[in-house]
Amino acid sequence: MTREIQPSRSTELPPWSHLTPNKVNRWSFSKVFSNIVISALSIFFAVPMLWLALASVDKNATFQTKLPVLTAEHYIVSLESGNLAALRNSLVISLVASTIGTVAAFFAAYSFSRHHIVWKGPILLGILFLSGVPITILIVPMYEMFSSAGLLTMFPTAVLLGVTALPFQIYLIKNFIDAIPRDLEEAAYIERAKTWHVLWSVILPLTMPGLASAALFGFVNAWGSFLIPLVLISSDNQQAAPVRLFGFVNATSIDYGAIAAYSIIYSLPVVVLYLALSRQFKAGFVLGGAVR
Amino acid sequence: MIRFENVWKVYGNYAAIYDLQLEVRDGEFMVFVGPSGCGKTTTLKMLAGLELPSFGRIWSDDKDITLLPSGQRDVAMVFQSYALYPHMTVERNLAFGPTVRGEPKAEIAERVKHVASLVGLESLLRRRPDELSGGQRQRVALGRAMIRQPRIFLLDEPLSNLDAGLRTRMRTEIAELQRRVGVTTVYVTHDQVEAMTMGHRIAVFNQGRILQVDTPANLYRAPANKFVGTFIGSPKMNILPAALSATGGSVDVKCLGTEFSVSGQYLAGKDLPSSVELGIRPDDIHWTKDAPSRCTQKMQGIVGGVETTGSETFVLVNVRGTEVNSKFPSFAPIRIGQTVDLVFDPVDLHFFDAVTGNTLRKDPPGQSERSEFRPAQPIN
Repeated sequence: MTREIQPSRSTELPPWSHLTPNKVNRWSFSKVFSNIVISALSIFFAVPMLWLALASVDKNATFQTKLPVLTAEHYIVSLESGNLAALRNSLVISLVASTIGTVAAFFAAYSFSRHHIVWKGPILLGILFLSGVPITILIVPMYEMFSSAGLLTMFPTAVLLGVTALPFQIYLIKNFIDAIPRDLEEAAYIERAKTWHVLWSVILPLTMPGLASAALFGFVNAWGSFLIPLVLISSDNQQAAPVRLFGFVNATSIDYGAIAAYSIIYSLPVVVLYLALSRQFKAGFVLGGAVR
Repeated sequence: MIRFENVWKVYGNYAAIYDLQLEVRDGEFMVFVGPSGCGKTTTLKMLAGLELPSFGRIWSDDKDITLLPSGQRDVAMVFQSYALYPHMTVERNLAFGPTVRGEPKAEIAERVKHVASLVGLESLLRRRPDELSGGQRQRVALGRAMIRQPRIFLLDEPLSNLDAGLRTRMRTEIAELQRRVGVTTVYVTHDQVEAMTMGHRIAVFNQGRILQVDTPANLYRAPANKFVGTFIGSPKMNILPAALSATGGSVDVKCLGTEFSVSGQYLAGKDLPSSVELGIRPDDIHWTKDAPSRCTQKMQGIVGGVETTGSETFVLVNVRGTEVNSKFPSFAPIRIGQTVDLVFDPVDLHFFDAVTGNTLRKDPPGQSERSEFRPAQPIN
């Protein structure tokens, strides 16, 4: 098809050959300036990553960025059974926290979005405020509570970590549910659908991108948490990876190579999770075709 | 029969629906028409069970359904937005209702096939709504409502998102479908042409009240008040200021420099107000060179604008400061600024009270045979 339209390339000139093409000036001050600024910023953020990658394979790793003397020993240290167990603990804690937070936030967000709730505005404002308060300020009373109830183990900590992400997750999911037209629910109710059916077959599929973001947020929030596992988990073999990472720093020396290698391994699950959920993000909001 | 009995919908101090009384007969195609914000969609939603009336009752035959949840009313609805589930294929959209009601799978598949062929969607069953055109989406919404035989079929401006050509076609198709299936239907629209072409009866809404419920022909010929008169019919009815004085059996009318008398039997009531508003449709005002002989009353004015549609020409004539729209033959040799003579027959006039806007006429102008509604016979 397209070949027929094009003029034969050797003999004839195309019929527009005598016209001057419209061109936008590619060089302008604002373009050059903004590109320079962006480049500077990206270098600023890339250097630590570069250090991480180089130090993890450098026999004589220090805090400086330099060409490495190659070795795999830091990775071997990182994958020792204790370190590996800590990663597994973190994975369990984060999955539990993320699941609990996301599920609870979904129901809360639906209620906030659709139902008439007395003092809804102030309550939502309170939640928004809470999402900005660091949980660490409550760490002492939380410790007292957990310790007196005998809960200084992995799972109660995971639940608490899930709760800390809840306010933000509620807000995030609520925004997605707000955007779903009520007509869709009303159409379902007219067909005699029950509330759970509407939630499951109409609201849930359309909130997927929001749920994915909320789940990822909950996971990362728990995954990166250092202080809460440190304080609330008493047993060493239930301890989370960030606390283990801190163990590479001791009074006399800092094992930079092992820190770098363990950090890279530690960051992988988040990357994998992000990639796994990226389809959901990419799908964007699939409301196209619902309403015109 | 569906009956609204003293139904109000009040938001704070504002009455969105004002003491509504209405009956929808079985098998009837009832159209709610009115400008936006007049309460027609609110009324429909109260019938669907999606809005709760503040006061009053809604009856379905002898059953009070005012407080019944929408799922138990046996209504099917087509939303203005279509409300298709964007994450489901056309097939699953159609099957949604029966599936949530737990009907047998084989039966559902059968019915989906049947409905798809009815609305012409067989080849699109695997598509999702965002892969469909506006008209196709509209068909899916229609099909989804038709997958069962509901007690009432509700349509909320289903054609307002379609382009003009498609709208005209769907108009006939929906009306034809309703007559074939015979389900009681309430159809909301702001387009008076849709109302006139589709409905057995039309309820004209304005500002939360029903102004008139009647057949299209009667609404057109005998509008109960000025609003109905100007809302129904395109282009709009002309409203001209006039003075009345009763002398014996006849009434003298002075209007824009012309004087004539009409027989008193046309007008209801003994105490006629002295100043009234005359309504006359553009179709009833003729150019002297193209007028039926019965037109005796003459007006003269200056042409202010000409609109040609091809089949006819509407000319805006300035008669003593009042714009009068009148129908001329197509491509009449008329220029802006020209002085033209217009004639009309006083029989075609509508008389409205200048204060209340209510009609003062007794009989519909023109012929007065009434077209009665006959419910459609369902064919099985």
